Amino acid sequence: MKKILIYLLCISAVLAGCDRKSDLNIDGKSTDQRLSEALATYQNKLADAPYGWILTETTAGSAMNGGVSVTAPRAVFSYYMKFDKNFKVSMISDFSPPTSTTFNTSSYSIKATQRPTLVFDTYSYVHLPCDPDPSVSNSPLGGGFGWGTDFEFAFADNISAAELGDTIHLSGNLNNAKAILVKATQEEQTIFTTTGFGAYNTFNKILTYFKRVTGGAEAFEMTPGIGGRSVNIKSPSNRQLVNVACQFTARSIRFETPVTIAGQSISSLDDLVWNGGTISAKINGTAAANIAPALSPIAPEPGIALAFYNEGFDNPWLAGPGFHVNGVDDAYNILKLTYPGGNYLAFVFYPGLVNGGGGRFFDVLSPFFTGLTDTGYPYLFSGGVAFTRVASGRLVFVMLDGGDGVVNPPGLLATNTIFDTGKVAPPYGSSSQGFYIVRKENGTSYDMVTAGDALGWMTWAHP
Amino acid sequence: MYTFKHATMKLTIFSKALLILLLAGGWSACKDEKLNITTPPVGLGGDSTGTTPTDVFIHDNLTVPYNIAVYYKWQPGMLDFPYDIVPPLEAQVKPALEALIAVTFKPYNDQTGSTAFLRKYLPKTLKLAGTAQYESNGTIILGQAEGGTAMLLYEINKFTRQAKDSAILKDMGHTMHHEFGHILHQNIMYPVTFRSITPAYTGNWFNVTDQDARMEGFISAYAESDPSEDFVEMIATMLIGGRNGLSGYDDYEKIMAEQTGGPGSESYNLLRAKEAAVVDYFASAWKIDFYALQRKCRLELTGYFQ
Repeated sequence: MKKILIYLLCISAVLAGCDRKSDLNIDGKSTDQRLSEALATYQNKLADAPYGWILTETTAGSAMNGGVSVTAPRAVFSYYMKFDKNFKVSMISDFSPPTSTTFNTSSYSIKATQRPTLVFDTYSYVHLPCDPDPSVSNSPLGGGFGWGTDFEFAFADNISAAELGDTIHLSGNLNNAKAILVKATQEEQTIFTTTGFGAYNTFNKILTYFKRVTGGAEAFEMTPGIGGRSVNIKSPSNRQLVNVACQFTARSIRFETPVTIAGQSISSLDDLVWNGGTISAKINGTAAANIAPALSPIAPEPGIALAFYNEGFDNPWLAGPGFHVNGVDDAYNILKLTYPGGNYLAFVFYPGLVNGGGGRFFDVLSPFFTGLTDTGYPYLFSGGVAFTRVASGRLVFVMLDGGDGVVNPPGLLATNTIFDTGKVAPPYGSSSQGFYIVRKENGTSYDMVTAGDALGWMTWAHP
Repeated sequence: MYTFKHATMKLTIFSKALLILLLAGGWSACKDEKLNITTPPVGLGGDSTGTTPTDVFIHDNLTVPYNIAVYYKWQPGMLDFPYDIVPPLEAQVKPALEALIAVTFKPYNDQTGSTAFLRKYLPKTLKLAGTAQYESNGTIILGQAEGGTAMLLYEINKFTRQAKDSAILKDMGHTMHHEFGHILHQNIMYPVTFRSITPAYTGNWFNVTDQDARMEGFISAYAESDPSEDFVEMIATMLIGGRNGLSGYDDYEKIMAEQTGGPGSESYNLLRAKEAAVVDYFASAWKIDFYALQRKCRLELTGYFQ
């Protein structure tokens, strides 16, 4: 009996071993052939679109580095891109004014990973928000983290390549950012190739911190969200800040979710046109509206300047980059400030730290360096000490010249001038108007905005 | 019972014959299966991403003379996965590799008389990244060697030939010499006595500044992490110099003179002892005159900046 079983086993083993059905051929094609064909179908899908694609990427609210996931502000990045058969892709994006009009060519590949994956495999505009260097990505998360965006995207529709239509869903492999590829029309191609991300450019021609929109049910104010990839919206009747990620297209600003102001639901500002100083637009594509620069907040938070100042005692405020001036982030390259033997950490605002003698205390308003054996404030006593007061709900600084031997670099001198005058450029006037303090959407970081012209601001947060 | 036994026997004879037949049939059936070895499988060369001028440059200048493959296009999972690292800008790849060949490969070739030495010992794979790898302890990784088979070079996007930004190329050359040093000592180990010159190695090296490390007889803070790192940091610093703060870069002799406590001090003597160990090692293990190699490296380096 045992023998019979052994023979049966042997026979079945031999039969099974040679069973031709056991190889993975389907329709006479091997796995590799089918893989290559599927990858080619994906590529053709992208490269065959005659007018290119519009890619909209939305972050999942987190960013990953070294196995550590941190919470990131929501952000939307938009691209117009054209794929070709030689694995090249040219694109523009709404990342910055130059990238919104200048096409850049890089490469892409379609890889067979756990899911078929589109990889932007050499550096392109897609990588700018991913860059771990915050001076490139402008990410508020610090070194090592971008915005929580991706450049390796799995095809997420869970259908075969041949069945994909004019809208393709993608999912980022590292940060799980969601992206949607939509086939562009000929008209869209014409707009993108001639004026780029026009709405982004137009909107950012207004350089002031406060942008006021009139024409709807009630005037409202748009200010930049953390890191500048979303907007904070406020109106006199709705003083509660609403943060909404926005997508820029050729002609429109679309809010990720509609915003309600005085009963009116607003989902987009369309047909933006620059009129040399202000922008004409249409709310929800219909009602005529106007976007204009404003020098002061539409609904200031009472007592905020003093509260901000007091909160800094024993708990200093830090700002990574320096002033955003006239549309340029960290205009004076404070992030790249050096001091021999030290590493730049942040700009610090530390009220009451300097004892001036006679019961008078002053505030530190200076770059901070780590790795220094002395106090770590190399520029402190050559202009990094402020006498601060609160006037008309604003913080007004007088920078004290300590006469220390260290000479401030030009970028720091320019920064100190802004602190001193509350303006980014002359004419300065007889006395400084100081700075508005504006609470950001997370409730714990604040923008300090030049009250003289609203053209310069710096973002403070606790470490 | 008997009948059953008989039947079993018959079955045995029958089945043995059948088994042989089946085996023969099975064998011939299995022989039919053809393995297609003309097309490489997908993911192992079977999928193309297009040939660019950069690919041609790499083939002619690295693959043919040194048998090195260069990955500059991003491959999923090629670098440490859960890190935010991005691929290099393609336009940066050729100039950076040219500089690497001129500043680090050429001196070795000149010193050993041919490309044979590097061809044998250089890692067979170079992987390039556009940015550094940022660690949670605040340090950034500029290069890594993977067990002598692959070398990772980061921050290709920052590469420039400008003399005012010479630290970027020096950093890259430093990484190359550092990692190649690892490969050399992984083939022939340095003498154990090297470990006892400064036995105070620490995992907390990143809390120490380079300046402090140099006062303790280590050529850099990273050299404090482990004897092997110490050994290759000595090689790299002697061949191309070392960091002085965030943006500065100093020649080995300048560091020795200015940052160690100077001739006669204990740290200076410890570093000179390490220097002697490196020179002896190159002479005995590799028959290379290290000081001559050092001179050639300096010559190529100064000639390279614009």
